[in-house]
Amino acid sequence: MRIVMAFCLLWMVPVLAWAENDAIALLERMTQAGKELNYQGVFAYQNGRTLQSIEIFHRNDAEGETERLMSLNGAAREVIRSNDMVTCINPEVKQISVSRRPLGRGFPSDLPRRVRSAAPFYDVVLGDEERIAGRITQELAIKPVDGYRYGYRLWVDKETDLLLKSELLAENGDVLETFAFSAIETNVDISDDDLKPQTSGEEMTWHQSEPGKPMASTDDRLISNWDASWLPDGFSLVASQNRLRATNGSYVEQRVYSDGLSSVSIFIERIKAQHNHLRGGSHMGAVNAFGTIIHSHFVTVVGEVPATTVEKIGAGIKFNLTGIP
Amino acid sequence: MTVNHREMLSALVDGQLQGQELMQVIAYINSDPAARAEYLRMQYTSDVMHGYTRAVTQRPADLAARLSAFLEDEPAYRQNALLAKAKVLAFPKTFWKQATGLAMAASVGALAVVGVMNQQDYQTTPLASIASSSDITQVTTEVNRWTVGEPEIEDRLNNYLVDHSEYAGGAGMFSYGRVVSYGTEQ
Amino acid sequence: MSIDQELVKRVQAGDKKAFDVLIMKYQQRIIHVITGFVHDPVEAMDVAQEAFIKAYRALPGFRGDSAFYTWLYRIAINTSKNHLTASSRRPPMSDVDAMDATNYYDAPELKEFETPENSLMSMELEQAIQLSIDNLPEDTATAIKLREFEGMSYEEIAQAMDCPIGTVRSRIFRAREAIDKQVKAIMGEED
Repeated sequence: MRIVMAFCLLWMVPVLAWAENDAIALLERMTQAGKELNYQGVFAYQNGRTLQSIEIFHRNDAEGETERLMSLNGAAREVIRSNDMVTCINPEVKQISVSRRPLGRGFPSDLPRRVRSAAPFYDVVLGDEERIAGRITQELAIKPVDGYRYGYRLWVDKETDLLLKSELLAENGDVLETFAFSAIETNVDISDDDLKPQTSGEEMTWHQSEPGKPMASTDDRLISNWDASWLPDGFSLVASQNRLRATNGSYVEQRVYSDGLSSVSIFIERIKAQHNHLRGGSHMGAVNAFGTIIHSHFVTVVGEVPATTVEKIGAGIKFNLTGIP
Repeated sequence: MTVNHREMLSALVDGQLQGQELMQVIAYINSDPAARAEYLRMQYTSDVMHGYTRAVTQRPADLAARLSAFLEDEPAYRQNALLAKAKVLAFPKTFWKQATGLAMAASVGALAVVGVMNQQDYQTTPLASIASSSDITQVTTEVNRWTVGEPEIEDRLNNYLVDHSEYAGGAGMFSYGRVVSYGTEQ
Repeated sequence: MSIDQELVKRVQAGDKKAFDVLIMKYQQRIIHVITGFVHDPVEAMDVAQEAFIKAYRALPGFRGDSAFYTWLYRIAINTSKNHLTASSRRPPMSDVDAMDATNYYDAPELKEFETPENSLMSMELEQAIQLSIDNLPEDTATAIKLREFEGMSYEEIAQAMDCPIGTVRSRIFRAREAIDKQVKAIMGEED
């Protein structure tokens, strides 16, 4: 019996490996397609009982990537991304905030390449074909190996490899949030006008965050006094950067940890005056946050992972006095 | 090669050349093997910096050189009068072989990849299908915002949400959808 | 008019050498994309050649108002998919017997498309690039970082650094020259 089993396993392993390899390759191409292609469309974002429909324009040309998203219901909130600058416009409160990626923080397109490193921490299975937004998609079911990350169901366009629908799944299988295109067009020419904000900048308050002093990335580990003593298996530091918030002149350090698919950011901000901060957990849809104060700093963990994960990471953050330059 | 010429190679990598200078640099690359090698390396290095490393090899490939025999046999196009200026560079006569654009296009009809979009169509597509097909069971919030009481904390968390979105992996290009949906009410 | 538009117009007007520049400019990105489908490097190179040939032949029908790279990217993807279908080798290593395949996939370091030599090479290159940027004078380093990591144009960099465009251009050249020196050493082309 044992011999028969072993024989079967020998046959099954390569088959499974191929299936998983195909699924991972698809995941990689999906990430790539989302960056490389021009597309425009409308997608819905649903979490809990709230539903928003959002228009998206994405262009990739010699100048790099540019993208504009706008909510179609209620206030016309917009996000415009050009290369690594992100502009958020909130007409409700007449605010525009601009956030820039600092210099020399590794390669901007590094993250998609890490998808493959997520393989050991998820079971990735190719599902059925399904029609979404008038296109035939391939479903991908992604199940985490433990309770520290969420699962995903992704529907990827068979023709263009674009992600057309995504669901974030809790451990018990509940759908936490859904993104789904109702219509999408690729092979379109996205004009400059399509990428311009609809709201004019007049009478708006501008908030700007500038990149902090450029530092060589090799110095990062010396300069940062912060470290996460506990992380879920497979999570490692993938990016870290400093920003200067113009509103209060304080530096915010962001350290991003990822297993290749799920990620958390730890934000560290020095307390400059008497301010209030999140103590404990909060959430916005499926994004969880955990806040605490360590050594006169606001420390906040944010990520699309379960509440227990941000809490455990938050509880294990250490301030290291010895590393101060 | 002079510094100024090599500076043009660097500017070519950045796509920051036009007109006369662009023509000069094309001629330069094609006449000086060292310049061509230097340009290929600079372009290669820039591609590596942008993460195009899946096919990194010891040295950059030179597909253009591999394809030169093929290009030699292909007809040159002649669609408009832009080349008036190009006479300055005295391209070999072979560049002026005639071919009708139409015949060329017909031979590759299957490659027409330009789609036509109907803007009106998609903007009026109802979202009901998505809402009804979704089996969302967890009802936690009725307004899509951080569950905190104070505007100051909410603002700070919102800034963090924007900065984190760049790295939110699984939702891919949708990740900023969370940001524009902030505050959506049921 | 962007440089790509200008190059395309030149090819359409009969200047084949302008197409050479488009190949040189995009070959690495296209090979990278194709390798996602066709894992064998030699085959991937052939598919890349085929894609560029198709692009050249289709160029008269290319409307200059959409991005050339997006257009080329679509051709590369279609060519890769056609190649896989035509050779009907999916998976591409199906001729390897089951024992070998098991061993191959059990070795975690081989689970990548990248061969070990390939990822070692890219790591070495990335380190050399980072190191040479770290060692640049501040102005030069800032200029190249704004260009490569922030994607700014020379004009934008000139504004940000408050200097003439010509200075930006020469600073970026100095940076690329310094990086190239390290890269050449890795490639074994030291002078």
